[in-house]
Amino acid sequence: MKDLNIVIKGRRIKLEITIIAFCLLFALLVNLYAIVRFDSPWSEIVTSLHYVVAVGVFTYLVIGLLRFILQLIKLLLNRVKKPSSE
Amino acid sequence: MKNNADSEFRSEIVKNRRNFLKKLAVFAGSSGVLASMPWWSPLRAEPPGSSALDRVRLGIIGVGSRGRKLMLHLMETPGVEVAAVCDDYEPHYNRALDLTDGKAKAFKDYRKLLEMNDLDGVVIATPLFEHARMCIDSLDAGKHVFCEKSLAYDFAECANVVKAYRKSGKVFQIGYQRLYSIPFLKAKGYVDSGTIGKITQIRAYWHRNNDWRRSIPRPELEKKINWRLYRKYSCGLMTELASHHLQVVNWVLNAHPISVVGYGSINHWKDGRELYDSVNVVYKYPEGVNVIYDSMISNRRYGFEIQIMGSEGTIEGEKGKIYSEHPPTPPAIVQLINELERDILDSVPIGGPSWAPDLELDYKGKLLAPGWSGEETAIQLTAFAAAIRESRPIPGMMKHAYDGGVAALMGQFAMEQGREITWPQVEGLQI
Repeated sequence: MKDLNIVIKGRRIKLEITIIAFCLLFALLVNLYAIVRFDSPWSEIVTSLHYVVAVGVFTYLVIGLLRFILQLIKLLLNRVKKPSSE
Repeated sequence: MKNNADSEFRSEIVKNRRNFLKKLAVFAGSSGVLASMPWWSPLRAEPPGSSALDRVRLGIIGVGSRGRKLMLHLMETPGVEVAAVCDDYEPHYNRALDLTDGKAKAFKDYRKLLEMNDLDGVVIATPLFEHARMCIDSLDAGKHVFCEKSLAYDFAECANVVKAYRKSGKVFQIGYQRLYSIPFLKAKGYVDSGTIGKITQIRAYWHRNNDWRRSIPRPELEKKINWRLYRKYSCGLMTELASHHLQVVNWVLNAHPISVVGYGSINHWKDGRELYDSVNVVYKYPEGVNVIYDSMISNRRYGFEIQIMGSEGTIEGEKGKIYSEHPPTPPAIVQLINELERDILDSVPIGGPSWAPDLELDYKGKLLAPGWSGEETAIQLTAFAAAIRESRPIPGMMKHAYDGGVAALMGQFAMEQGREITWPQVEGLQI
């Protein structure tokens, strides 16, 4: 069987960590907004952390999907462009 | 003939049941349980040993569908021997004998079974009209008695069973399984502690969608096999189903009904039956509490349930759930997500219905006894055997049998006679 070597560069890892950190920050802000909006106890900053993580991961996945679609469009555009340049 | 796999399976069950009984003994020994459910007291005893002295020898009178189930349970109960079976219907008689590998003595007349001196007690699972006669004869013959619900066919018979029981000093157990259900025990605890506030109403129902018939090999056996449908032998839905919930009501409210009114009809299964296929009754209890009960066998959408409603909450006994009138609000972030979900997915109403605030609360409630797997019948039969071993009557049991049985009969009589039926006062009756 042929080996498939996938190389993940340091730059890519850094980018993903940055995106996930932003997603978690976004989820934290959403929780803060919800606490103020629904007049809930501030302790929910801690007690709702599992929801915050879930919302953060969900946001990351949605962004991931959008990025994948963008990459796909980019790839298709490149393919369309290539024959005309030959 | 039984194969080895069968006997290995049975011994595994007995082993598991022995472990289960050990846990049960610890649970039953707690003061909280004994205070509210004194009929659990026989279960405090350690599981029986394997000596002949520890063995309780029982006879089963009536081995039809329910009797057979009880028999199978008893055969798996440590320290119990099914020593005799009795049924006057040949196929049931033969089936029961086969189940015991021919080890049990078999009879067609229960009076012959009662003549067995080495029999400790009997389990009666016959049609309603035979309960009183068989209970009284068994108690008079010095046997301990387990009788399937409901207690008897009319008020006088119920009272006569109580009198025979008092005279005998023997153990009496009635087939109300909810008395041995952990969710119902918890429910009773929540009611007594005031967690659901003042009980203002109880609503119970039992719905099925079948004709309630059993197939008959010959037409002349119709009334023998389908006795539930005929007035001479039964009081139908009230004694066969409602009786269970009425017992729970009496227990929860610590009272028996004052009176009852109701209507019954045969509105679907018009096949020559004499007993109602649809019943609707309202019982009046002390302190202005009404109990609304209905049962039908032409629709099963809502199944069965008993809803104990208080000013602070509701208990659904059959689902084993408790609901607060003030459900806890979810965390803010969940509320926000729910709101977004509603905004995106819900259709836009032109004008909301004015009754929207009165729609059922969308709250899933809490389980009364998480992990409960429903071992009521096993626990109940174990308690019966343990009480026989101790030779001590089960506290509070006859009162449940009498109050539940009489309440069920009151409902039937109210519908038949088209008038309010009040609780029968029987002079000098000590329950």
